[in-house]
Amino acid sequence: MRRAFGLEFLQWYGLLGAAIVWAAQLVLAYGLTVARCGAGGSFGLSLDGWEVVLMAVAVLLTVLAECAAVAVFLETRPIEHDGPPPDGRRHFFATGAMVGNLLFLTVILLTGIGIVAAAPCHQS
Amino acid sequence: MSAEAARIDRSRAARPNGWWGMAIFVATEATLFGTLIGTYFYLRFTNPSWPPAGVPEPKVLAPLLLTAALVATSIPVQVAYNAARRDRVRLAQLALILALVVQAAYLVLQLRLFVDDLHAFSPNASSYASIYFTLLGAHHFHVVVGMMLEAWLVLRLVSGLTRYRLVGLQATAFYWHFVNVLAVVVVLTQVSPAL
Repeated sequence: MRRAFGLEFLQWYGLLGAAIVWAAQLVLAYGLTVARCGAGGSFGLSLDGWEVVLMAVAVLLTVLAECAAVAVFLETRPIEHDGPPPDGRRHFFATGAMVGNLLFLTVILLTGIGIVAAAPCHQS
Repeated sequence: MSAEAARIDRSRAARPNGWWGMAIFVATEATLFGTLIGTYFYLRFTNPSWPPAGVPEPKVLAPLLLTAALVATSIPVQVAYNAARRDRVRLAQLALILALVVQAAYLVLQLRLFVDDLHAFSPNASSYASIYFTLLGAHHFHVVVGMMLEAWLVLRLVSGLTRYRLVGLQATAFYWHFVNVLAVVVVLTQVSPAL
C-alpha cells in the first residue's frame, strides 16, 4: 500500500514537477522584472540576486523530479511501456518524464541565465 | 479479432497508455498555443493601433462559419470511436470519411483566406502581422495533422479492428476535440479587433 502510494506520488511529481516549476519560474521572474523595472521603483530588490535564487530553487526541484522519474523507471523496469496499469502507466510516464525533465532543466537554466545576462529594463 | 478488441476496450477499468500519451502531447500543445495567444494580447495591449495602419481589419463572418463547420466534425469523429467500440468498423470508417470531407473543405477555404491575407499584408511588416500569421498557420498545421491521423485510421480499419487501432482511434478523437477547442479560441482571438 505504502509502495503504491509512494510510486504514485513519484510518478506524478516526476511527470509534472519540472513543468510546474518552469511555469512558476516564468511567472515569478516576470513579476520580479516588473517590480524592478516598473514605474513604482525597484522596491530595493536586487534582480540578479533574486533571479539566481529562483533559478537555483527551480534547478533543484527539477533535478528532484528527474530523480523521481528515474526511480519509478527502475522500479517498473520489468514492465513493458504498454503494460497493464498501474505499473505499465508508471513505466510509460517515467520514460517520457526522464527525457522531458532534461528539456525543462535546459529551459530553466537558459531562462535564468538569460535574465541575469541581459541588461534589464529596456526593450530588446 | 475485431469483436475481441472492442470487447476488451469496453471492459477497460483504466485508460490505455496511448490515451495518456495523447493527453501529455495535448498539454504541450496547449502550452504552445497559450504562449502564442498570450503573445498576441501582450502585443495588442502594448501597441496603440491594432491592427496597425494600412492593415485591414480581420474578416469575421467567414472564419466564424468555417470554425462552426470544423467544430461540428467532432460529432462524426466521436461517432467513429463509439462505433468502433461496438465493433461497427464500417460505420466508424464512414464517420471518419465524413469528418475528413468537411475538414478538407474547411482547410481549403481557410488556406484561401490565409493567402488573401498574405497578399494584403506581409508577415514581417508588423508585430500584428507576425503573430497573426503565426497563430493561424500553427492552427492550420494542427488541423492537417488531425486529418492525417484520421486518414491513416480509415486506411488501417480496412483490414479490421485491433486493440492498437482502437486505442489509436480513441487518442485521435481526443486530439481532434482539442483541436476544435483551439479553433474556437484562435478564431475569437483572430476576429477580436473587429468585434
